Amino acid sequence: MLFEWKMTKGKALSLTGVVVLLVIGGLTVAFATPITSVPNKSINNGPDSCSPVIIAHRGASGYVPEHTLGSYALAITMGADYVEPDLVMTKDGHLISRHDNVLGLTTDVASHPEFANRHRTQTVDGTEISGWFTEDFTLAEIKTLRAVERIPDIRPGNARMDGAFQIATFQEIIDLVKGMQRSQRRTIGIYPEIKHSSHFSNIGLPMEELVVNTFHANGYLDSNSPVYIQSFEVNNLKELKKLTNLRLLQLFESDKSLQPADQALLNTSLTYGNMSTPEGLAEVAKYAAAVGPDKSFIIPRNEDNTLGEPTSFVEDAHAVGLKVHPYTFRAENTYLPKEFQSDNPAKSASGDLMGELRKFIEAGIDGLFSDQPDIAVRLRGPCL
Amino acid sequence: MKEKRRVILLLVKFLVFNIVNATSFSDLNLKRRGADDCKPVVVAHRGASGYVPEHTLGAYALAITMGADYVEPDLVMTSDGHLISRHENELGHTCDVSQRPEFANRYRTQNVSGKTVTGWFSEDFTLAEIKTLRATEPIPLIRPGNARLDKAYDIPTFQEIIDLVKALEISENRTIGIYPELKYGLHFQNLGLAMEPKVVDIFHRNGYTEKNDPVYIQSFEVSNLKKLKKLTNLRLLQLYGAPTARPFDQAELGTWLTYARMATPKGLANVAEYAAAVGPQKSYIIPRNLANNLGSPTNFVKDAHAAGLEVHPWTFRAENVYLPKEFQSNNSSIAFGDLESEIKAFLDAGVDGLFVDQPDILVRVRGQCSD
Repeated sequence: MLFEWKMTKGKALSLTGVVVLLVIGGLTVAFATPITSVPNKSINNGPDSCSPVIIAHRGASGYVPEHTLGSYALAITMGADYVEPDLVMTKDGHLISRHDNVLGLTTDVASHPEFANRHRTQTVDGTEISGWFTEDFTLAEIKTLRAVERIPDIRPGNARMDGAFQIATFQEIIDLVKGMQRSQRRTIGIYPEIKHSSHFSNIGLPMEELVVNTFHANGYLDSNSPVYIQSFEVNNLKELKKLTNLRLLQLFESDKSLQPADQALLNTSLTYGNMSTPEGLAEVAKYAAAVGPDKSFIIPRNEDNTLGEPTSFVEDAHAVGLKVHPYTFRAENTYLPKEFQSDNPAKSASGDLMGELRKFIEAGIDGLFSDQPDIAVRLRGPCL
Repeated sequence: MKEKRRVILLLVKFLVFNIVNATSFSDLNLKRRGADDCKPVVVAHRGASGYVPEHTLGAYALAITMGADYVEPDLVMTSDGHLISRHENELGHTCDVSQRPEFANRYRTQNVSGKTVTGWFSEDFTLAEIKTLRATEPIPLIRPGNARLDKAYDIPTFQEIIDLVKALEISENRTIGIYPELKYGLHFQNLGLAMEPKVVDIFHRNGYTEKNDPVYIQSFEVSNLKKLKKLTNLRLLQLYGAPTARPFDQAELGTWLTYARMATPKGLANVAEYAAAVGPQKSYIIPRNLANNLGSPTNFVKDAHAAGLEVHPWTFRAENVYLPKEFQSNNSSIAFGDLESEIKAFLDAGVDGLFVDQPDILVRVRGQCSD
């Protein structure tokens, strides 16, 4: 038997009330949910739209202690295309941004008596190191530490900010970038390096899947996304190639006789020197979109510390479809080729970084890592 | 039936309440920390100007990542009526205009709020022209670390600063306040470039409308604050200059109203009729003695609180050259001393907020927020 339903004034009012409630409820939810757009590098004002691409090395680490939200935020306001976090692991499996798993170099861990007994010695990538290691600390414990400037003699201006910042997680950096894309009105790229991949894998804290899953969960999905994942090792990049379509970058150590850490462990004969030949680069091109050589692969220094002649590296890399992003461009005299140094004898004095940059841009690089991204942005000028 | 209707009405009221809360700019998330929730309030003076050239997006962004509650832009006007952030309308000290041959003929002398000033003036430049200039550190000898960032930034507009704040609120997951000062109110009014209606209009259009929105509008003058009181519900702050001086508008009007008069209990009661807070020089609260040590606290905070006014003194700076003698370190005059101790002395005196060039130091002294 069908229930007979007659519209009455009361029922009409109730129905209207329900509809209104649903609409209002929907609006409340909509307003409460922040809108974050899926990032895409190929928007006109994306991070790859201007050449050379400017990668803020450890953030604007020339001005603010490296790998802090302050350093990344400053880099973004300076116009950097990408921010570049180095990633290591905590004991409880979180990705945090530090250049080393050794905490004493860039944090105040040494002044925390509660952590004194964690100081130990171990071998990391073939080198014996004594210190406090990220893998021995939970994220909550890491968050009680404060970042300090690594090279205070060269960057006393940065050392003023010792203690100002915590250590950031990978997710916090992504959140910062996504938020700032709104005010900057452009897409900003994220360019993490996986540090000590084999080391962390071997202690049960593998990083690759976690990095990929974090990216994917945040809407960075494929080769159109404003991302490069970097590593000095090889096999993890090959593994990553199977896990994701996000672009990968093969880093090259300055010493050509060195082997990637995983290759050394596997007892292969592959050195960075091998990898930089045309054949070696062709192999790299099978898994990577770009290469990140030390600057000396492109233009080595002479005996007298002036810049020498460009090699064929860029040409060879381009021939197999690889972009070239050398590291690292720094403004202080102590890092510059002799002809670009200024007369100021102070340890912290800067010279003519633009002069060095021009030489490398002439040599055909596609991007560059710099501690002072504003200088590269100023040299590059308005994007065409 | 009546029961049902009442329940539905209650539900509707509840949901509307939530929407109103969600769309006002005080805390999208009721649990999210507001700009006034943590005491004392940390006001990043000209941004984190202790570390990055003042009044640049870099200075404001750094301040926010350091945990500042408010960023504090000083506002002046361009010839075509845009609000930009500079401490003075004279541009030569804080940007590279003096190196621009195309602007050489704009160099001039004029009277600005009772002072003779020579230089390049914001009111003689369009916004487009201002945007070709690059910000520089105004005190490079004291802050060589900042001077490394010369020319890294352009001069921001008021709207760009609001945009930056809103963007960083997302990742910071807290509400960040905006605390502009209207510089040379009467001067710009006389030029037909009145700032007051413009500031209010921009704030209102960006959703900052109510007295519990994270805003203070500051001025050293009096009349423009009284005028603003009629234009908006946003909170106002009366700044106090040297005690024997008069606000420029009062001098022009020929009144006897000096800052000292405004600092008496009666004077403060008058200020409380239009302002929510006062921003005195630090010496109103704890003066320095002849040996440059901190003296004894005055009655100022007590009197201001009695009138219902919050007290936000300026400015706290870490370099030895700015500190009371007893807090200076043995290093050079430009090295950091013990700002923490100077801050603590003022916190003991009862201040509600502080203007600071190195906001991270105040954030650290304040410690965990007690909500």
